[in-house]
Amino acid sequence: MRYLRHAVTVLGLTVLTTAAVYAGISAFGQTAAGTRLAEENAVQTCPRTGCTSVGCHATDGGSAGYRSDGMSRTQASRSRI
Amino acid sequence: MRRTTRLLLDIGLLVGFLVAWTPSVTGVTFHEWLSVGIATGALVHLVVNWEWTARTARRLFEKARLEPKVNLVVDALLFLATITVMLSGMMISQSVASSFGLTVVADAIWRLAHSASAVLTAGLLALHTALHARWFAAAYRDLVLPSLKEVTG
Repeated sequence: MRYLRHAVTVLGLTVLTTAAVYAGISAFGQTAAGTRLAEENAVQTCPRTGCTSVGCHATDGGSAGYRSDGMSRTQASRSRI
Repeated sequence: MRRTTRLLLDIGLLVGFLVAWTPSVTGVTFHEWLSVGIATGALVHLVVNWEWTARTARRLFEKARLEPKVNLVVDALLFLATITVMLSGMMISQSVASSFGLTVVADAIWRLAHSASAVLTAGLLALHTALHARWFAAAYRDLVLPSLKEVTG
């Protein structure tokens, strides 16, 4: 019974904190500073393996990050050939 | 909860986090599902230790020993960092989100939040473990050593 009461408290605190963090990061992402910071620090990630090293996925000089259409940049460069 | 169970849970969480730290080795799918397990375990860890947390929080501004207060501040920051790393991980998820029928658009700000909060969580977790080193040592001495002696005769 004691653990159940604690679990309800912890879950409530977790939900509230998650909502606050979501709102904070979303709001920061909307600002010019947030957008610039995100672009400067964007990690190019292979959509298949999650690898962040450019060399392990992009062999044609492109990178492995997502484009807005969901196609990886490597796929996009191949489709242009 | 028995001290043996708590020790196993804590060691499991620590090892789990170290494994989750290397998604390029384990693969993203395993990394994501392991992180769901870690988040669940972390919540259980918090529930089990909630009495200490509430008691220390009530005494935060009273004249008392400094050590529990430092522990509480580190724990609160670790809670915040863990929530950030889990939430941002879900926002860029490739496997877990789709299993729940959710479609995520991996935004650069969430990727940045995920990598930054992962580093922060690792640092705070190391500090949290160091601050509880005496508890780990006592639990090891009381629970693990006698079992080893029994096995080796």
